Parts: sequence; C-alpha cells; structure tokens
Amino acid sequence: MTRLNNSTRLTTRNWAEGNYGRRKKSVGLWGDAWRRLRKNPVAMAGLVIVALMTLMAILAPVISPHDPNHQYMNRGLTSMGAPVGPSSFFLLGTDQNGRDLLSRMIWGARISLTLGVVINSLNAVIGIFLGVISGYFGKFVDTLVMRLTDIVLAFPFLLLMIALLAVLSPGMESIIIGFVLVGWAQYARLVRGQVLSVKEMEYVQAARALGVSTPRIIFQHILPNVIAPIIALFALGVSWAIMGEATVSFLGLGIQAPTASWGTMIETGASWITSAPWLVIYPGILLLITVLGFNLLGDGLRDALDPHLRR
Amino acid sequence: MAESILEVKDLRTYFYTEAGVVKAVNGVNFRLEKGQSLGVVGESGSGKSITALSIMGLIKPPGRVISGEIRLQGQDLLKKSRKELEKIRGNDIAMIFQDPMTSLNPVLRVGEQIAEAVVLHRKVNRKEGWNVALEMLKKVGIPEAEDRIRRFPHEMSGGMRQRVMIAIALSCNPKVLIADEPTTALDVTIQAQILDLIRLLQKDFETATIMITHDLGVVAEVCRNVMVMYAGQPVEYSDVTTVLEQPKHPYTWGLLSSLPKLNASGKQRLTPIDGMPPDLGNLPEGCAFAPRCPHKKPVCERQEPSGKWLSPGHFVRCHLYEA
Repeated sequence: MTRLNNSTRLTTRNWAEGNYGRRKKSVGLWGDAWRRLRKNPVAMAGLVIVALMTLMAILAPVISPHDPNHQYMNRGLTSMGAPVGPSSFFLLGTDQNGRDLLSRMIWGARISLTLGVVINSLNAVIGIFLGVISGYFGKFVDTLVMRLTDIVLAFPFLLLMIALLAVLSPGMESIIIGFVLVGWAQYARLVRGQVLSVKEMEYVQAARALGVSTPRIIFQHILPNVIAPIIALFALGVSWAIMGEATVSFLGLGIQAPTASWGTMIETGASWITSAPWLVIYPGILLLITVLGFNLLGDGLRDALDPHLRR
Repeated sequence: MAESILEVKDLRTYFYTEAGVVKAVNGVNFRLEKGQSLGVVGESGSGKSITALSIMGLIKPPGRVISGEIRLQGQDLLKKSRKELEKIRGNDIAMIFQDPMTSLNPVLRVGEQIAEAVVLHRKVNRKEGWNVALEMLKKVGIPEAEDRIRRFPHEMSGGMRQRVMIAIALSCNPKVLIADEPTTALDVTIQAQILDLIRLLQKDFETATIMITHDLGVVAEVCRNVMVMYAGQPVEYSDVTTVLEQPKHPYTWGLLSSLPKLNASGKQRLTPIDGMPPDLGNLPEGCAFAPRCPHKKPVCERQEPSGKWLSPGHFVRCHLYEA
C-alpha cells in the first residue's frame, strides 16, 4: 500500500468533513431568515405594504397634494356646506370641513405609524427587561411579574383606556401611556418563556463553564437567541396599536382635532355615511390594508425566524 | 510523587428533590497529577457527569455539594466565591461537553466564541482574542481556519464543532481539562480523530485530563488511570492496564464481559449485567451493587464495603477483598 502524501490526506479529510466544492457565503441567523422570508409571497406582500406605508408617512410633506388642515371653504364644500366628492382637484374628495381627504389620510399615516413604533418600542424594552429577569432568576420575581401580566391581560382594555383618558387629557401622550400600560405584558410573557428554554441550553452551560459572568451570559448568549420571536411580535404589535388608536380615536378619546388620524377621520365621517360615504370608506380601506400588511409581515417573520423550521 | 494538580476528597453532591434526597455523588476521591489523564467510567446515572459539574462549580439547585474538598493546586474550590470561581473556570479548569451540536451558541460566529474566553481571562482586546482563536483552530486541525473562523456553528459538521469545542476549552491553556463524553455524539471515524487530537493536545499543553465516558475503548486509548464509578461511588481505581487486564471488582468484570471482542471465536454471546442501576434516592443498605452482584455474600447486603488498597495504586470497594 502506498502511503498517502500530505496533500492528499488533507483533501481526504476535507472531503470527509463535508467541505468539498467551494465557498458558499456564510449565512447567519438573519441572512437565513431573510432568505426564507423572501420565499414567502404572502409575507413579502406584507413587507411591501409596510414599506409603502412607511414611505408614505415619511414623505407626507412631499407627496400630499394639499395642506391637510387647510379648509377650502369655497371649492371644498358644496353650497349646502356638505363635503364634495372626488374630483381632479380633490382626488378622494373633501371632508365636512372642506379639507382634502387624501392629504389627511397621508398625514394620518404618520400618526398611526409613529404611535405603533413608539408604543411597541417601549413595550419591547419593558417586556424584555421584565421577561428576562423573570425567566432567568425565577422564584419570587417570576411569580410577581407573571401575576402582574395576568392582571393586565385579564383587564378589559377599552374600559381601562376610557378610564385613563377620562383622567388624563386625550391626546398622543395619553394613548402611549395607556397602550404601554397594557402592551408590555405580551412581550414579558413571550420573553420569559423563551429565556426559560434557552437558559437550559448546553451552550449556556458551556459559557458558564468558561467563566462567563451572569450579565454577559444574559446579553451575549441568551438575548440574541430570544430576539427572533420578539421581532415577529413587534410587527403584530404595530398593527394592534394602529387598530387600537383608531378605536380609541373613534370613541373620541384619542387624537384631537384638527390633527389628522385615521380613527378620528372615520369617527367624524360616520355621521356622513349616507351622503358622503367616501369619508369613511377610504380611510377605512387604508386602515385595513395597513393592519393587514403588518399582520402578514408579522406572521411571515414568525415563520422565517423560527429555528425549528430551519432547513 | 509528581506534582498534584487536582485533588478531590470525599466529594458528596446531593439533590434535594420532592421525592427525597438523591445521592448523585456519594464520596468520590481521586488525585490528578500534572499532564496525567484519568478515565471515569460507569453507566448512565453513576454520577460521572455530576462529579464533573461539581468540580466546575456548576451544580444548580436543588443540587448541592454537601461535603468534601476540591483542591486545585492546593486551593479548595468549594470555599471560593462566585466571582473567584468565574476567574478559575475556563482559565484553570475547562470542560468539553458531550453534544457538540448544542454546545455552541447558534447566533455567534465560532471565532467570537473562542475569542470570548481569551478576552475574558487574558485581558486582551478583541483583535488579539481573534488571533488566538485562529491559532487555536489551526491547532485543533480545522482546515482553512481563516475561512472557518467566520462561520456559524450550523455550517459545520459534528466533528468540526467538537474540534471547535476543544479549541475553546484549551484556548486559555487550562491546567485541568474535563471532557464529558466528548465522542459519544460522533461517528466512529470522527471519534478516533477526536481522541487522537485530545491525546496530542494533552501532551502539547501538558493539561491534566479527566475523561468521562461509558466507553472502555476510549479509556484504553487515552487514559493512564481509570476510576470505575457505580451509584455515585468509585468502586475500583487503578492504572488502565490493571483495570482492563486484572480487574478485581465484580462490576468491572461485568462491564468488561459486556463488551464485544474482536477475536472471539464463533457466536459468542455478550454477557449483560443483570438488573438495573439502583435508585439513587433510595440506595440499598450495604453495597449498592449487591442486588446485581453474582458474587454477593450475606455481608454485602448488611454492610457497606469501606474499600481497600490492594496494592499502592489499586483501590477496590468490595467485600470479596475485605478481611
């Protein structure tokens, strides 16, 4: 038998360990998730909607045809003082005050998206913090935090908002406070469950065996491994917040005139539903599409980021 | 006598569960010299892994090390604070875990995971840590280390991941390396490679090694001394030749005769050890192995054997040898 020379041996081992052929680009968790998200047409539709809405909100001053708060007393209202229907000047018609409906919808996207992102960022920060200490340290803290989430999740949301907004003055800040008071619980629950399972993983034990300190284990080894479902929840949470804002504003407790918000627009439009139905229909459709977009994206992200489905 | 690196005396680790006290480790003694290798053999649940975790200080409630001494170069680890232990773990004692598929963090590149320990213990910056990581990857025989170092664990095979684990464990040049069944989860061909590697690096780094395994073949290949454990206690301790060729304890006999032999003629049946390992929460009175022992005497069921040194370096815990 001839002895294998050194280079052949190396090749043989390369082959045995599966690195024949060559160099695929290294893909991490995020690259992998993105690849899978791209293959999911429904989720991509959601992503496109979300992207368009975001663009619309950012570019509102540029793309809106009119000032959203300007009242066109002559052109914008009929001689009877009613809203005018769609025309080439007011593409989607005007509202009861002679303001351009399309412009108000575009500016309303700013309110909705800002609220959605701000509320969920606060929720995520609070929820992750409480969820991590609850899941990692357990015992008394865990019981306390989890019973608190039980209470929060069991409380009727609208009732809480009505009570809260009766005390505080209605407006953006009050909406944020109310939604954060309730919304953090979902995040805390999710994070706690994830931390509970990840902290028992062997790589956490291995890190501890290397002398890694507890804070570092939490930030370096546990948090990055629980972040994926949080992102999915974030997308779903934004749609929840947008819908919630519309609901609260519809009840007259949310965003106050003259600021354009989808919920307020639908509320004021409701009384015109027979004579000027577009006041309700167009903002309603926009709200529907936006919420749908975030939901689709959220579901897609949840699937794409789930390591169990990894192929 | 050579310099003793690690000395374990009468180590007892109990788990206080709702069903009662589980005596997982119940009086383990051994000494490890510089560069020496000790094999710890036994069935599942014989306390091998718990012994290792006790030494690492990684026993979590409801478990507790209730007594004993673990002396690393003379210092008792059981008396150290949590902070002091964090400095020792990874630096002076390192551990390789059983399953390389789950022992690496899936979201970190392997380079970062090797560098982590180095940065932590040697107080160097990230770049130097990364350089050490690269060097270590080359040492453990990973081809194209410059490319591999930026890869994620899921892009590697099991054998390679175990090499990475070894690289992590040895990156700070520990005095003691504990390998908890490092080859159990691997293919046979890869097993041999990993064992070769461990043996080689052990010489290179002069690391004392504790090899935990249920595979006597592994022990024969890598270890100089062997401790056979049963029900949380060492039942036989000697050098590897003695244990494999002149075993004294009935349990060791049982283990050896349950192994297939390559030179056996015809259809020789394997001889299993009858019965089940005892419930560690409810140990029998007397010798823990007595219920399964083919050589038991009346005394075995009444009194626990205290153990005897048959010769310097050969310890057996059995009534057959007690006068």
